Amino acid sequence: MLPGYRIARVCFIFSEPLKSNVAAGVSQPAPQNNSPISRLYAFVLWFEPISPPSPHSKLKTVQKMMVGDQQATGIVPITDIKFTCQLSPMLSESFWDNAESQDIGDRGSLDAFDTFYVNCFGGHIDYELFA
Amino acid sequence: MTVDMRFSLKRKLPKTTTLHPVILASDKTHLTNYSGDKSMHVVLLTIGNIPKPIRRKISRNAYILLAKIPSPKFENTQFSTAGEKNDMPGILRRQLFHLCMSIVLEPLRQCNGSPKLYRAVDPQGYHRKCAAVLAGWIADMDEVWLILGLSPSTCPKCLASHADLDSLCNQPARTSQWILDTLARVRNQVTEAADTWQFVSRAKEHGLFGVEKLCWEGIGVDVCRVICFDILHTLHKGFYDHLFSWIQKTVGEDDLDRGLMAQPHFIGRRNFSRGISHLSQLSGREHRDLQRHILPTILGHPSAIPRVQKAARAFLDFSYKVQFPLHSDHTLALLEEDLQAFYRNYTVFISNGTRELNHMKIPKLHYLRHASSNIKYLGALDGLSTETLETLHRLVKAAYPLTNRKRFKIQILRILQRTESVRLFSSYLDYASPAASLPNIPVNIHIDSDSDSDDDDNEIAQRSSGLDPVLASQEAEHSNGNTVQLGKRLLRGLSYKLSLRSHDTLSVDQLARIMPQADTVSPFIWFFTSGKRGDSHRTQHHVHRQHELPAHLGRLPTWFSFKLQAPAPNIYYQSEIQTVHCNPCPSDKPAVFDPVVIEMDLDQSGLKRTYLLFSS
Repeated sequence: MLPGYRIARVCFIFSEPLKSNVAAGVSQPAPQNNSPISRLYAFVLWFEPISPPSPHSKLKTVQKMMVGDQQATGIVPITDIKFTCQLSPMLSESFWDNAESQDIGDRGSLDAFDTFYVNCFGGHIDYELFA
Repeated sequence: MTVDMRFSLKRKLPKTTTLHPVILASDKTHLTNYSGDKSMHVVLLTIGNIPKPIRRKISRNAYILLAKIPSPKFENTQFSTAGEKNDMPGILRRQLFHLCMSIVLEPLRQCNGSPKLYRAVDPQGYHRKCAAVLAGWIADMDEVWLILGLSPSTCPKCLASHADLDSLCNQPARTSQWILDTLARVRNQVTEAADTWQFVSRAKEHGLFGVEKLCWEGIGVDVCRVICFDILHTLHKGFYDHLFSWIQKTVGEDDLDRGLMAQPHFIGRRNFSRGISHLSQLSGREHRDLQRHILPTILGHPSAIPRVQKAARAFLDFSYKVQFPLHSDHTLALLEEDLQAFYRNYTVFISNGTRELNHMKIPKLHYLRHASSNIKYLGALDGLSTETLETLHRLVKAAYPLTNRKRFKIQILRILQRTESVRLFSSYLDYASPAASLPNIPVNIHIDSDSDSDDDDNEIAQRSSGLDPVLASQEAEHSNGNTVQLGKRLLRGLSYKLSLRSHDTLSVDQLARIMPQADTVSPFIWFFTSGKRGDSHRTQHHVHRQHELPAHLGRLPTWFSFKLQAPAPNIYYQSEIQTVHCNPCPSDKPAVFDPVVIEMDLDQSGLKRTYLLFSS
């Protein structure tokens, strides 16, 4: 991975209500007035890098960061999110041997697998960043 | 156009002459769909003085239609033998193309060894002494063979014959002069009484097609050098026709389909969620999208042995690097390394039986080695692809249905002339009296947070930002009524766009119920009570047991998607607006949590590894 950067999946974005607003009963702050960018946060699921990269394809690899049997979660300011990226699952031999694995589908792929390649061929900007 | 090329051209010209590097683009296009089989050659013109980002945008009209060359079938012409009947129409079509093009290229023909000078008015109204020189010719492989008068399956850039196409040795460069000299030799070998058929038969022995009078003769430029390496047909189509089909046979059609179906959905890209084998015809865009998915898809497959992986990786590296918007010696050296790695490993497809012939004499794969020299002479190739040209075919195709299909060529020309006149006149009106043009109606577009098209988003973002992208880029926070744009100047070019109204207001308990598979409460306490950042998860759990959730976090306004505009890695890329979907509870579907890159440590980050800006 790029030094100083980590990959995560964003679960939702939320704004931290102001303590004074909560006390006064104001419930729906709009981002430009009461929730400046510094009060917007993202709830994320963390990944951690696996080293070294895949030997022949030279693709960088990440895996879900686990705490016990759950994927590690965290909160980051929205301004720490810098780019989108594409993850492709590492398809193991068991995937290819098991004919029923085609039921996974593109929507559930990121949940079904634990280890992923960071796909640097997702676009030209991805290539500049991750190749 | 590179500085070297510009200097070498300017050296031949008097001082204070403005150089117009002419870029031609020609291709054959069908006028009819499904029936009729009527086609034409379209020749378009642009000049290198127009900056590349403008030239590449179809809507900026940087290309003008220069000529349309008929492509008749010679159905009523009588030929003496069956062989002539088969081949002569093609030969005559080529001769007709060169005859017409020699008329078109007349202004570029040199007079006493230097380009003809003419006066032109620049946008400021000054009269300038100008010279036009052919600096690029965008064409696909078939068109290149036609332009150069070479027989197919020879290399247009070097003297490699078909037998040498898979040789790793470099052959001498092919030049215009070599073609003209060879043509002269053929002329000497045939008698004056020889007809076209005999001349062509003799020319083919020398690797020529047999066009007696080539259109570019006398323009004073080495046409073999100005022919542009075509990214669309050579790389994208070459990938699909050769490498992809070998990989598909290597891993098996069914397995490849399964692998592609398991790739995560990514908005704005073509996802092959039903596999690939059911698609009978793919567009250039799909060829390109396949390159995005192919390598991670095949990596774990038992048949994808290391040499297969290396060949695929090397080709993809080469393909992506060739498309860099700017090159340096460093990137060209990397390009060469990738190509050599590809050539070292692609024979694996012969050994594993997926390439049925036992050689790699494939013109498109041989031609890859000339990309580097082409870049050195012409500059980056991303602005010289036939992709723009293919899109511009609609100019011509649109005119054909407006004719009555009889003597349609004249009618098409007339229609195009009128359209062009109207467009020029309306441009003139805009220029002469801007106030008379339509007022800028404020655009009030609701940006649907579930929109699927990022291309559309880019356009909407430009339109909704008050029609002034510069101003928008300087704004720290900007609202257009429905969405709010945050960041940009304060955040080193980053901007985030969120809907003004949050999607929902949820309590942390509700969120915990929606996402039972994740620990939802601990991060809130860790972050807001202890004020800690980062991902020390075990400590996070420990803190959770000791503290309560802060009272003001009882109910949270939440958003389930936002748009992220990351700055481009360098000035030669345009930044993209991408929608990040993060919806933990879509109805009847799995949760959507898009992957993103998060900056953890400001001291270490900073994109220092990108090729162009910080090449090391």
